[in-house]
Amino acid sequence: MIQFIIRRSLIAIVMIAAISVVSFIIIQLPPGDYLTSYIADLSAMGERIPAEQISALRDAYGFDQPIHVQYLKWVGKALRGDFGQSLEWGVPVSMLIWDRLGLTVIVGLSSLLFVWAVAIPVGVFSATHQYSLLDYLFTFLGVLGLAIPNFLFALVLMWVGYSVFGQNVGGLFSPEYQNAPWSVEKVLDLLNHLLIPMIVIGTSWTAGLIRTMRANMLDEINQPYVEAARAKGLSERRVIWKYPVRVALNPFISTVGYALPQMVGGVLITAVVLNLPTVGPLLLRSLLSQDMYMAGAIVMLLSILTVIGTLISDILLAVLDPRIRLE
Amino acid sequence: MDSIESKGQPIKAEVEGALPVALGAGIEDEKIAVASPRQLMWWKFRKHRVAVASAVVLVIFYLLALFADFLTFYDPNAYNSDFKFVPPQSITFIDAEGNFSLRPGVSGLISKRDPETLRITYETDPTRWYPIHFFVKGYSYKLLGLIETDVHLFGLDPAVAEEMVYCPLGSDRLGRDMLARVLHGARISLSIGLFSVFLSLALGIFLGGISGYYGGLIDNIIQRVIEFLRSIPDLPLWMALSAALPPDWSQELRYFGITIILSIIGWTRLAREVRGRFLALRTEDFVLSARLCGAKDHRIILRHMVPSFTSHIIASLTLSIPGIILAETGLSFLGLGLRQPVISWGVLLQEAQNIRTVALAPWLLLPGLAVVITVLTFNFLGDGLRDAADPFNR
Amino acid sequence: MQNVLLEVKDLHVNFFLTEGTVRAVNGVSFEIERGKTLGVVGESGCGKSVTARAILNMVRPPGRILSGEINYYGYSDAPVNLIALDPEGSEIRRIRWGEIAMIFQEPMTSLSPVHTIGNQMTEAICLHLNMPKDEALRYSIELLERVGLPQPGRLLNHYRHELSGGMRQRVMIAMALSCKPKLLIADEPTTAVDVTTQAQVLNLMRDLQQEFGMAILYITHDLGVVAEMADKVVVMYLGEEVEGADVDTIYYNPAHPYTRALLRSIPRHDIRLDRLETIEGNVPDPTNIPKGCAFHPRCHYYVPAQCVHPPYQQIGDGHWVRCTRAHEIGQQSSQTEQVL
Repeated sequence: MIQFIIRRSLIAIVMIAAISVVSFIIIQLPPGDYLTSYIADLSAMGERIPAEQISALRDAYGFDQPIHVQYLKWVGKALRGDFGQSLEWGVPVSMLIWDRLGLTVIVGLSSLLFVWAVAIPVGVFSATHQYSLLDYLFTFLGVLGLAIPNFLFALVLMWVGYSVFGQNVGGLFSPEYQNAPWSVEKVLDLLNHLLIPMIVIGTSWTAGLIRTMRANMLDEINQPYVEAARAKGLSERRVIWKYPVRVALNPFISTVGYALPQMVGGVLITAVVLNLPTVGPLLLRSLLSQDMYMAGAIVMLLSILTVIGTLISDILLAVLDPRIRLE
Repeated sequence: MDSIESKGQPIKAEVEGALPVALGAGIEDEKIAVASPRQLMWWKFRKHRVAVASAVVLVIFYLLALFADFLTFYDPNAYNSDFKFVPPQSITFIDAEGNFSLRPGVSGLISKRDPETLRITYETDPTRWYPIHFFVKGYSYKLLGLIETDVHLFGLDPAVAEEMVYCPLGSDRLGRDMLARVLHGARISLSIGLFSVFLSLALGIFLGGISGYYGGLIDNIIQRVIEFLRSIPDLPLWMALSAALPPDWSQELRYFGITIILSIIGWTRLAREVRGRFLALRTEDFVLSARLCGAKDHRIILRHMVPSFTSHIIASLTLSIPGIILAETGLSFLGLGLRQPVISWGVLLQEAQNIRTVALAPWLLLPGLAVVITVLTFNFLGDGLRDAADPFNR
Repeated sequence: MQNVLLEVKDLHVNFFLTEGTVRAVNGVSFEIERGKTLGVVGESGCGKSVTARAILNMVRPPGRILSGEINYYGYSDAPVNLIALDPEGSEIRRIRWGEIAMIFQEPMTSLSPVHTIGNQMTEAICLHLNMPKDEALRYSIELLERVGLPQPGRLLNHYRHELSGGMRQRVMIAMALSCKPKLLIADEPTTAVDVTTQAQVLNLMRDLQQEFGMAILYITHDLGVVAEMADKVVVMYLGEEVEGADVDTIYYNPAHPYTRALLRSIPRHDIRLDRLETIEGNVPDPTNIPKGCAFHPRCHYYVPAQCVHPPYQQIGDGHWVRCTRAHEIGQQSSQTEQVL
């Protein structure tokens, strides 16, 4: 087991290294380097920068050195939590990013919980009541959820909220808590606001996962061990939830592992529409204004979080499934 | 499942063992026993009602896109400052005098400006009535890109263009006709999915084929790359790459740029599929015998192996398209994908970003409905094709 | 009637499939006596496993028990009609495993892949014997020891994939015996294990039957195994009984052409044949059972005018056959045997 965790963690570290390369490439993609645009920006505002300062900056970022040296310098800084300077905001990227990243994780995790809370029982129901009216209904709603783009669903919900209830349903906090320090009320307010993003991001995933859960269940539900459990005189509910559900959960968890990368996309785009204070709107703005250190940092951190999430789900799977543990 | 098709063998023996229980004995059996795999697939697909209906809907959508200029009256990019935010107009058969008319028409519009919010609202004015004409002359265009013409299927008399418009799906904030915009948008949105999927397919077959056919180190490297690409979130990557497209690129270049970017992730799924099939087929007797006959690698791959899993690939392709369409729509919606004056459904939905605008003109969300229907139908069609691709499976 | 433990009367079970209705069990009747073994023999798809599941009232959709009675005389008072009980109710659940236990064809898949052996064993013990967990674990070790498994204490923490095929079936047997059932249904328990293991498992079952005094309903397609195990035998074909008698009669004086064909297809060491005989043709499509006598398309003795809807009739002491030509065939066979 420990060997398994170590091996998976090593793979994750290699992944993260590769992610840092990709992120660095993203930063380098637009023409010109950061410093040139920074200087151009400042001189446009009529400011002059002393030549020594320019060369000091050049040195710090290694702009005059070969590309791999630049990369290593950047990674070295990133490891210490320094992701460079945001061109647009004029402050270090790390100052802006952590709060929003935290909220992104909260939105993502709560959506994941929502998806699980819906997909597992519905999938089990659909499988145990195969071809019933509700099974068809759930399947249809599932496919529909899959087909509606996140942002469109968010827009429709906002439209309904706005025209029926006359209020703006966006954001994660009511205005009075926006800048307030954390308190019980603020957390409750946050939970209240989480509902809509949770549903929006969740629906597109519940669909697929209901399908997965249903299919997994159907594979298991006629297995002899289920029949054996039934022959033992267990109640039907216990038969289903102890045996096939338990077995069907394993591939389900691994599905979540690979659904995560795409779910992050849903979190991003929904956040833009609902104007959530997560990294989504920040990434969009930084990309539109070519604020590349910011964009690179966000892409990197989101990807790293995803890899860590997948790692956790892998380990969880190994804990739950004795067969994988032995491999 | 290996395909019998490629072996060129009669399939009678296999079918006799596999099917009678499923389809009932009798004449049906004999028909099935002599049918080609292709025919079996078609029969199986035909049974899938939803998939067939979806195929029909998709064909209609593609035809609508193809004949967009003929089917609509207004230039999709033409402004009309007198008729902004016109709601979808219904046709009526009652003319201005209150008499029944065989020719459909539209009632006149009275625009009002709310004194407080300064918004324009419209009311219908039954005292004015404008008949709809068929095969009217409008702006000139090239039908199917070939035939220069200015005839449109329907429209109002060009003489009343100043005082009246007919927009079946309403108009946007610049008075552009939504019907024209949705249909022209379909051209981009429906084609980008196809192009991107074919690009993914080319990459997927090439890399997946190499990976599955040669195995070993090459396989290992390609598999690690696929794993890497699949484990990082796709949307941020797409966003970053699209943002990096040079701003001075022409519309066409940008279109192809986006297509390529969307394929960067798309190929991994197809490559996995192709590799899996290759691995399964590599040890088949007919591949071995081709190799013993001295066939070259590329010939074995292209002539013997690829045809035996085309049906699966087609199903996979169909199921990949919705993802691409959703991705393009999302990117364009965010302003990172295609841009004005190019029209795609995503670009159109950008107009609906402001919730106040949506509350005022909900018909701006109609391109979203088109996206949903397209994605749904592609999904259903793909499911049907996937089932049919295994004609011997129950 | 005093010796009867379980009585199946005119049982009908249908499966409603999209391709048509399958009459999986079509009017089957038999009795199982206390402490004795009844063998049910037939090719796959003849309805024998469905009958077993009907006894525990565990037929799942698309299957449905249409009619009949299954009377259980295990309680001292009045008999209980098992199929009249609510299939998810507490009464039938008390009978399952507590009174009638079952072992399945595939020991691999009849154990859960993600639960330990101990977990699955103690579950039934706690439920039916009202034992606390630790006592149930101790009792499980005893049982595993009894079925001849080494290191039973360690075994409890193992998963199914860590055991060999023979061990798994022993675990299943130990589990089935845990609540001292009066009837053990064995649904092809040795099909999935190799021949040497098969002999061990059969011996074990016979020993345990002596020890626990339970009746066994032994379901198999293998007449050879039935000869070793059963006191009485029922032969099924396409959901119907075609022949029923004590085991000696079935072996030495079979009256139904199907039974005879089955017997001829067993490899025997006492008679040298150039090639093993097989039964002609395939089992017909179960949605489309042949009219008249169901066996007629594969029968050597078929005479169109004579073989119409043969009834299940008694032709000797406790010897029942569903064949209109049973008497003729009997005479014919004694002649041919002499020739051989």
